[in-house]
Amino acid sequence: MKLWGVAVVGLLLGLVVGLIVTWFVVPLEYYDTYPPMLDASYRHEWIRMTAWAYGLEGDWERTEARLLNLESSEIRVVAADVLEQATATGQPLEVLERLAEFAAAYGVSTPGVAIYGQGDAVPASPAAGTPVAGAVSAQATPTRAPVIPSLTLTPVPTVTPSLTPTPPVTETSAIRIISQTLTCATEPSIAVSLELSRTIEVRGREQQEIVGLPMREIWLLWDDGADRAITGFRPDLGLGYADFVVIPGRSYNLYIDSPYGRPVLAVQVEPCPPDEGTGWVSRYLVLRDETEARAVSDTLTVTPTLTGTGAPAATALPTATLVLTQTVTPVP
Amino acid sequence: MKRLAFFLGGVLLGVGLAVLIGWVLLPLQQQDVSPDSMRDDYQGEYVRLVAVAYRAEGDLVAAERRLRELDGTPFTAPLVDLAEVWVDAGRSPDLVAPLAELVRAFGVDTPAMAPYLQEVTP
Repeated sequence: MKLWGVAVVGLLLGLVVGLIVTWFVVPLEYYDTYPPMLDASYRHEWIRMTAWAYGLEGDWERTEARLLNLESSEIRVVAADVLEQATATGQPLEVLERLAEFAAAYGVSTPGVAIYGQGDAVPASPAAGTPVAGAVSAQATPTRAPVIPSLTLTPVPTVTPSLTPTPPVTETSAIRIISQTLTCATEPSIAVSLELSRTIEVRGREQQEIVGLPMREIWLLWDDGADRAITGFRPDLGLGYADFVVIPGRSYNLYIDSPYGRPVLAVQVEPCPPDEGTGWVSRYLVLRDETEARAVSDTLTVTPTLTGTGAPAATALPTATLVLTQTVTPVP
Repeated sequence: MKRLAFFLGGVLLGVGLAVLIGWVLLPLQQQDVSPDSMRDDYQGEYVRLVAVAYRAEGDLVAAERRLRELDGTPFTAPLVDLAEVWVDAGRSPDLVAPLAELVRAFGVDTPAMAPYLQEVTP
């Protein structure tokens, strides 16, 4: 064998033995690492915990230091997730705003950031700062599309005023149903748009302005369960918008802010009238918070107008076609 | 003699290549690069982040899982150690409070922490 042949044999032998040693006997070990070197799952945990820390403590300088050299794209995903989790678990408004600020700083542009990242644009809500009891499943990100009244149901003129919808206005309630639109859908839903009417002054003249109310809790209770949604997660549908998917045939009670007291509405999900096709009745409610208005005047006269389409049903639920104007004078 | 020199030269070159390949170019990722491999100061920061995250999430299981990544024995050791060091050093209550709360949540009771735990008890 020539000399170079001997050298090649030695090289191959050294290579094989060396690889066995470096790969299996004494594999590479990391020490004195820092967060960007961690495995992906640990990096995500690090980012998640850092986001929470910023949400609770608001130390931006320290947050930046903790996330130094980590990929923005990675931070973005986790930041959006943490903000969503914070909203679903009813974290205080201050925390939500910080988390939105944190997420926005890394380029997140979710509805949550749009809502909570606007600071002054978010009206303070008593419910926003109240942690939510965890016994009830939270659904803070409604996924259903709005109830679009594309189905034109022919009004039936034979409905009599005796077909009274569940009375939504009580002496103590400050939430009033402005309108209720019924549609026919294969997957029924109950959608709510909560709004506030306020007086603003423009060039010395008072004007009424209607604004959506984000971050309000909407509760839907049934016999053996409950669901909750937060308004404002679909800003394209209005800041006061929230919706639920409902089960056909089931009865529901709708509450605003807390699931106690008298419901704003009690409904049963009923089938559509036969002449309107198959499907179930979906509802789109426009609710108005009149807390301030009630505080101003004890003799306020409210005029709720319920508008719906469909046909009268056997029960007294507002699934029937009705355009009803009702005047209620609250007891002082 | 000349053959032996060439052979040994080849072996040395092969071993050198193997080191380059096995530890630098193509290391086998046999173990996770987990938080316990981080520098000490980062590990301290990690422990505090675990405590703050627990304050927000209220998830004791997640807190335990995160602390176990530090390979402490018991798993609460890094937490208790950091809390005691910071209490001894008179660090700000805002810094120590999350640690103390998590220590309490794990049911750990040490003499050094006892006075502080009484302070943070609501």
